[in-house]
Amino acid sequence: MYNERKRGNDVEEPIITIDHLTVKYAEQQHPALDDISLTVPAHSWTAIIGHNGSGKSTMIKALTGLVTADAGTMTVAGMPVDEAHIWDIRRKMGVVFQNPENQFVGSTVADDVAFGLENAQIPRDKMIPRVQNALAQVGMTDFATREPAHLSGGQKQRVAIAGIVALAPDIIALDEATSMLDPEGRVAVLQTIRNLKAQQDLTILAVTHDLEEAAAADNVIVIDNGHLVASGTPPEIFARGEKLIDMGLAVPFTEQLKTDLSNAGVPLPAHYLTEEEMAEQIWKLYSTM
Amino acid sequence: MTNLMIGRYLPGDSLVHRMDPRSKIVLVFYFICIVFLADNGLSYLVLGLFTLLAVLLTKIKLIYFWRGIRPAIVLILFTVMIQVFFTRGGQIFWSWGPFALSTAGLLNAWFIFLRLVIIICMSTLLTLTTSPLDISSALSSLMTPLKWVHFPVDIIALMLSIALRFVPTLMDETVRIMNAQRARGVDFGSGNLIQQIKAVVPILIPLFVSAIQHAEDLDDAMTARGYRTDAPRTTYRIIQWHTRDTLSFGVFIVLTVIILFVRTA
Repeated sequence: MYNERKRGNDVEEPIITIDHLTVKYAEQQHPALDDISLTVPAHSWTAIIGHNGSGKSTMIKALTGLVTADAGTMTVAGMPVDEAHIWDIRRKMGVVFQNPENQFVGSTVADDVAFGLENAQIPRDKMIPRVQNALAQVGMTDFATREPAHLSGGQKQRVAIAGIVALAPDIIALDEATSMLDPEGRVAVLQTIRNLKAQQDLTILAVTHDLEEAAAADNVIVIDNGHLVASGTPPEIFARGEKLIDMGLAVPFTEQLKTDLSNAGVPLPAHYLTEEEMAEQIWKLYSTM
Repeated sequence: MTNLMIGRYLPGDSLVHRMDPRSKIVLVFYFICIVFLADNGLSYLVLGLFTLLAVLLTKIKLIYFWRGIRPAIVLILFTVMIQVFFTRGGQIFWSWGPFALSTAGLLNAWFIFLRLVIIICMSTLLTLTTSPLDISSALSSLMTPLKWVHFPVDIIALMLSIALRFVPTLMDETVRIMNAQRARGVDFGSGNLIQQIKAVVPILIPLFVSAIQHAEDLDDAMTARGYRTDAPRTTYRIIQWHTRDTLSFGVFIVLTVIILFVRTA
């Protein structure tokens, strides 16, 4: 499959194309995505950054048919995103969502990994090795019979990845998949994705808040207020620092708060904090004062 | 919080634990039917010994069975009292209006008492030795014939397993919400009945909101993973029938024959 893709063509074909995509939620005045056009090269790691409510998660939902486009066309893995192809596209592109709790369907780890295979009507005797193999690839073999209540957030996200890997997809989309994890879980999940990408030549499309994670990507796409603001390699994007802020990409609120608090002499951890984590940090500091 | 859970499962490796959950469910129901056949001391003795044997086979401490009976004790005593005072027959020791204390009443009450204890022990045995997960798989497997009348067995089975899977999640959230409300000064478990019911409202509303949020996200995740209600699916989890299950059916048939033989009617 890999050879086929590369044959006679040195330039990578884009695996995802988005052409003049507009998505508007019924209850909102402004479209969540407004006339977005972009391509994602195959086998690349593409990070989508933008502040909360910028529409970056909506893009992943549009690509997998979870929200419908009001205008524009999209293709994923050579197929147009429409009613006729959406189930095939969902097999080619797996999504790891933000909340580890809300994507764990099975009663145990192995059952959850098998969920996608059951939907794809894979016979049980072929499922067993694929489940084992997928669990081995994310380092969760020893947890096969565990129930989700006994797993950490990072472990649940790795199980979610195994569930996708079992279906042998071309693309893994991460919809802020690490934002609810502790630092340890975050590192483990990102490392798992990196290994998988290297072994299976996957395309990674990662919606993220984490600027460090974006800096490690091949391409960065900046979305603000439903508009595509910039796209390019990380050095290109970060070189425009001030301009990006002018264009509306505000530093995430918690980052801003953290910078201000640090300037005021309040000790806070250096990595990116979600709102919940920030609240927890402040609460801890407050109770020790 | 977890103490509230009825039907607590105790993992183990006894013969009873290893039985097919389907045969355990079917046999427990069958056993409850047999219990109603018993009508004299000897038949209750046989059933009682059989229950004791089954309980011992699970290798679970008897205290856990007592914990199964304890919540039902009021119900048992109430039923026994009704039998004692409302049944007339044999020698009557005391009577007042519709109430009477007679040998027939005492005997009936004793039998009802035995019957309830035996039934509760057997059903406790089912839940103690079978994980909720196995019970839900077994129920969906037992419901399979309903597919013939276009009953959505697979959907119900998936709903059941998702519901079970989210019990600990929602329990955790309940505890967190209660703590948050306590921090705001809500006092649980004191005051009169109305006040206590009022205190539950600020728990329920956030809990419902959160449950709906879980459901919406889960819907997206399941759809993204290719779940569709209108398409057939294969199954990963299977439950296996063993010789020991066939044998236990045999044991129950023998038990039925013995009961039919020793009962009076």
